[in-house]
Amino acid sequence: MNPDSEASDSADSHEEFLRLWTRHEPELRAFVRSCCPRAQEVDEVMQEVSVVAWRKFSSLDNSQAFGPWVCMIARYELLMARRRHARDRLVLAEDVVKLLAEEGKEEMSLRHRQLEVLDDCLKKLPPERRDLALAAYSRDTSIRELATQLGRTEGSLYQLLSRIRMQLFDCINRSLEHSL
Amino acid sequence: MKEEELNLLHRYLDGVISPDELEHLEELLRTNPEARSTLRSLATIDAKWQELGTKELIKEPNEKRVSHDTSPELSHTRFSWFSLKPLAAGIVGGVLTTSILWALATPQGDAFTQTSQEIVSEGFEDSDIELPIHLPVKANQWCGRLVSVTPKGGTSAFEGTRVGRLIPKAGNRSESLSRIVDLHNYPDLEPGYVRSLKVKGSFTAPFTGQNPGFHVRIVAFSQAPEDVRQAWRDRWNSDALILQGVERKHLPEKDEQGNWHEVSASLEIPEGTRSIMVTLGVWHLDPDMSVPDLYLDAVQVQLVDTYKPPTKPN
Repeated sequence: MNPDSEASDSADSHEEFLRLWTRHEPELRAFVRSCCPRAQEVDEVMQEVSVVAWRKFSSLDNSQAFGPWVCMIARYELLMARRRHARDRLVLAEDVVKLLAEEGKEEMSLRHRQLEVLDDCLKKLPPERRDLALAAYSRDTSIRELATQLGRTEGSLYQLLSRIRMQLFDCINRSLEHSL
Repeated sequence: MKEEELNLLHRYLDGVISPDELEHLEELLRTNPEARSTLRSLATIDAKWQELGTKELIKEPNEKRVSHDTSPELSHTRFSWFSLKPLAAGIVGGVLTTSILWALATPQGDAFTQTSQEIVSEGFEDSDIELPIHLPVKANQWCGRLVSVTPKGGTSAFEGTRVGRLIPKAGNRSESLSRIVDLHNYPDLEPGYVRSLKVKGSFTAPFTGQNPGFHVRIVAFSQAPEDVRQAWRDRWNSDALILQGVERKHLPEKDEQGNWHEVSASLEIPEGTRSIMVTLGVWHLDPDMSVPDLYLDAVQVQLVDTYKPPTKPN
């Protein structure tokens, strides 16, 4: 194979990987989130998953299988992250992470549908609640800072976020029931 | 599910669960499929919030943290910034090829002027170099398991005759060299300017059939240099210890092993920064493998001030 052809194949491979990664990333991120005790660790795991997935991408024969395949990688990286952080943080027991990940792997199409209807559910939220949730998850604001800005205690802010989360959870379930 | 069980899920997702509560949650998740399913669904909402939080950040007016996106397929969420909470550095783009790299946008072109000051240029030519191995507690000193050597194994120095050999602690999955830049040692920024720190280094791992990755990381702290080590160690316990950071990872192709690889990163220094920790290192993807020895050469650190003239009225 000549160098030009090899370079072209490599570029095609990158493009295909990015296309698949971009398509599957939202549900993969949700999958990873359920097994990470802190939101910021999701990025760490996702980074490792992306690196390993790219390294092994040439071994994937069927791009249709990218979702389950990358979930397997994520499951492994989740367990590695859990081991790294087990000494200094509160993390779920390994058997629980395995259980969550195994079942989560089978629910990727459900994750996809949930994320689709979640967009509409977010639009239905009162603007102030939506803004609050976004502010809480903004990388520029800690919960402590946000609570201070709002004149609330951290505890009451977490309670409010829980209520918003449940409001969205109920909305998702209703929307999926109606779509059946 | 009962209210108190749901509360456990929320507290877990909020990262505020106590050890006792975690035990209860684990038992609940082991025995209750509905609890596991609900956790995954609630986590889906969290993941979406996290994504939207990032989008909102990017959309902020006068946003300075812009990434060069040379590929329209790459979504906005894949940038390598981390600030306040996360140490989740790195991005998919940064590890692919040099054609898909994300970095700080340094304004270029007619409308901008730049001045740069090289504050570190290190080739590890001093054969007697002895470095503290722990994270630095003062500015202007390299720290790490590094010695100056004449390269072996058919490898030549990237520049000069000697290189830094980073010798990982046995069993480590990563190893790095760090240094603190104290901004108090440099002139204040003039009005209208923004200041960036750029770091560049050349890496090779000549002693291995493995395929290690190389990284350059820049992290901004409000603390004085002597407090940076503690702030870095406590980063998971407090949201306010790190102002901002960026990490660039490079994973060589298999047929590039033994070659020199230049890896660079740039951070636009956020307001309130006193100290910046610069780290260059090696890591291995496989957690069961130790990282190999690493040669490091031609490390440069630059302060770049960029001025944007006021827009002229029409």
